[in-house]
Amino acid sequence: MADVIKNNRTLNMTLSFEDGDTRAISVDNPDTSLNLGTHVDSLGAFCREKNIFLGDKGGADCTGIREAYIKNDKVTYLDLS
Amino acid sequence: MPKTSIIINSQDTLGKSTQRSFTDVNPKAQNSDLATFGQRLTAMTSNVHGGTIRIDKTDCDNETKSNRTFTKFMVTKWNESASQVNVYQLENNENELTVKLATDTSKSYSLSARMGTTFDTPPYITDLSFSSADTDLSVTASTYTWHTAEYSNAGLRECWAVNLVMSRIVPCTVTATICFDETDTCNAYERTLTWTVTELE
Repeated sequence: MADVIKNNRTLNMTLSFEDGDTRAISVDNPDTSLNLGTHVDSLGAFCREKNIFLGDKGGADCTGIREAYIKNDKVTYLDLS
Repeated sequence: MPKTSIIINSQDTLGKSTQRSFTDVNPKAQNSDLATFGQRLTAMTSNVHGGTIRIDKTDCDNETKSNRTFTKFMVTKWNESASQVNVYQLENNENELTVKLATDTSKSYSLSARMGTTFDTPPYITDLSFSSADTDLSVTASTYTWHTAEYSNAGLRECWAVNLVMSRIVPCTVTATICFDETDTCNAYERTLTWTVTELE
């Protein structure tokens, strides 16, 4: 049996709030055609304009998504037979 | 403060179901916007969107007010005349948990000979009880308020509001006994309170 390689891709984003608080959110399997600059920015603007999230310290308004990155973990399961 | 969460369901390319939950969602956010957020988040992945569920909850140990939604409550008889049928609409105020029974004073009731006027003595509540399968539940009725409002399409409406403090969010049945001084009659009304879980799509 050969080695098995699995890719675990995760999109990690940081929401920012008016009181300076931040919150990390993530989703699995981000699309390979995702353009972080436009897609994430657009989602952040939606969150801000529609007041989707509140800060958990005092209910501060969400100001958008401050940063985003895609983590790509390549896990190799070695065949030791 | 009341808390709202959403759960976003999706399936990956292998058919595996996943759930992503978010807390501290704005309780005042529009349901349609929350549904859109769920769709857009899933659209950024290779998963297939399954739906978004909204859950409203409250910390009853520390909060005396909560945000609930009730469905229409039908009471088929509230006085001795069987032909009197009233529809009671239970309303949800933003910062208040209230149970309101509306009375339409433009109709003629056996308990009052008045037509289109207010009661001299508003009906009052003598007893508020509850029952629940959850034995840890305690419910305290905190305030009763008599409201009068003039509706442009429904005439004068009067109602009382009961503010309930619940120690736990479990389904329970609340029974209120309302008495009318004019006719010395009392009737009991039941209402079952439950959680609201709203499926947005």
